[in-house]
Amino acid sequence: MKRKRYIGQKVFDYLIMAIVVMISAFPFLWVFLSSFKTNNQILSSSFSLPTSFYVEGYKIAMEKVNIFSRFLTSAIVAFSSTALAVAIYAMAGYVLARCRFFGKNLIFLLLISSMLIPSNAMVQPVYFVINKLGLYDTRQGLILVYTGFGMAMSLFLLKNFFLSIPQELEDAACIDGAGFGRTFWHVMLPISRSAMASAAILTFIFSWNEFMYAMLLTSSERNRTLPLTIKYFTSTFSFNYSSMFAALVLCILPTLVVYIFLQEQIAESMVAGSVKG
Amino acid sequence: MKQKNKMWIALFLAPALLMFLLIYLGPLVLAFVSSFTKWNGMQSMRFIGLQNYIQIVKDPVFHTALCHTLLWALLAVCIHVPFGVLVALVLKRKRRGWRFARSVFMLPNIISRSALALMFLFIYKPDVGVLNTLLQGLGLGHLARNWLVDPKTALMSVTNIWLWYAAVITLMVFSELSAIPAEIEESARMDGATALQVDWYIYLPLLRRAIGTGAIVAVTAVFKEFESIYMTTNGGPGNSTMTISVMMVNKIVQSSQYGYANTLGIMLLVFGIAAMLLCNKLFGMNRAD
Repeated sequence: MKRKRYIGQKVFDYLIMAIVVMISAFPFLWVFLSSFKTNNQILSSSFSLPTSFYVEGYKIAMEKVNIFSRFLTSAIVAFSSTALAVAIYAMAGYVLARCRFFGKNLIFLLLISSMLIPSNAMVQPVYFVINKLGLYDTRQGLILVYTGFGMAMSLFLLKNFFLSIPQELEDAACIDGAGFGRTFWHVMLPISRSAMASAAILTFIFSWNEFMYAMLLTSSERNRTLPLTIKYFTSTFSFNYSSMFAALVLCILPTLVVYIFLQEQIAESMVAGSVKG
Repeated sequence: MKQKNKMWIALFLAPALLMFLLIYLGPLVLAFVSSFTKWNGMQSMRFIGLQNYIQIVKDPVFHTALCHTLLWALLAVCIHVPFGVLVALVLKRKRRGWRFARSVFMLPNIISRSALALMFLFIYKPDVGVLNTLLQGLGLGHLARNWLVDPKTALMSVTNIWLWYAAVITLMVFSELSAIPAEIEESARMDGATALQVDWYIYLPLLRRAIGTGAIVAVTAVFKEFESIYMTTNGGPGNSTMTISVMMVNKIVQSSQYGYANTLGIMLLVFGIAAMLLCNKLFGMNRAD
């Protein structure tokens, strides 16, 4: 009797796991396999395995769009906003965690209230501001916006981490004659690596994948990011399915490669970043 | 020394405050002010009082969009979050391959939503799409259709793009589960409780706050959701997949009705805050255990 119950539960667990793996992996596998099929193969049987290793789709996709340039733009924008966000919010988080000054709680509440504003809801006003700053259709404009949108989460993460560091460490640094800037740079930052990594990973994923602002704030080829390329394909390759699938694979490949190496850290950051509420 | 520290404090806070001003406060004020004006980008704002709000309340497109947005919020709380929690409870038993399952489950949440939406666009296509082929193979050919063009199935098809991909919820709940001491489960099992009973009577109540946070994250994400519709149906056919976010962007891009669009933005903001407060109350997040 008891054994039977365990078996039933085991079957249930494996069933759920199988479903999870299937619904998550299937779209990827299907797109990946289809990208090696000729257009006729795709049209005649969408479910079959590729019979040959057809790479023409990739060639055409690479010719039609300069994927490398878009990859570069995405990388520049995502790395810059990540670096900027970690720097700005580590500084602010440190001061808010450690220093005593007038209006501290108010400032923290104000900054953290940015979490209440959905990033997409203010799209036209942000566009207006970026335009007025003369940053329309520049990478700097996108960097500024993405850095801003990391605020609530990064600040929260970093401030809480600084709060958890024992005060004695700074006192010791102070006695050794280190000033404010040196204490921050040489004592606090090195031990906060894990919190900074979490903030960085989350900002990076957001900036790398962001679509709406990238679409509305850029217009020239030079400043278009990778996610926009995906929309572009649907109009360019309307009936060339192998190229379309190939292009899609090229767009998600960088993310997948990074994910394979960093999955533990990414999983950790996703948990750390969502503990607001 | 004290004076010097003050300078440091100001220096360290200035960039964050500037960022807040440029990206949040400024736009928020602008959105709020312009929601009382007629503004189309060519002419400057013209004050029209509450007209935008009145027009929205009467706008049938907004009614549809609102219904869909609220339906999505409901689905997020009733299906998306419970599914994520279920997966976390299953993974916690660490059956063989649980790490693999977790890694694969995260994939759709890691890639850009536009790429995921495009994958589904193809899956649903009548000519090359794998869904119809699959149904025919199972002898259910009569169910095959043009999923995103048929008004009856368009909304559910678009919903499917995010509904099951609850890895963020799973990860949050899973990390909360790992913090619960194993002795609690062991002693309950010793008393003869089944795994289901342990999950239901012990873990779920302990997970209340994590699930509440998950619900807030999911609902606010659903309010913002844009790519999965924009890449596939852009609100159509008719308005059968219209949501407030998509409606807002269409007002900006297609007809330059900035005042009206910003009124929709303010609505999104208000709904977001209301949903957050509601979840807070519903899951008793401020209540002590």
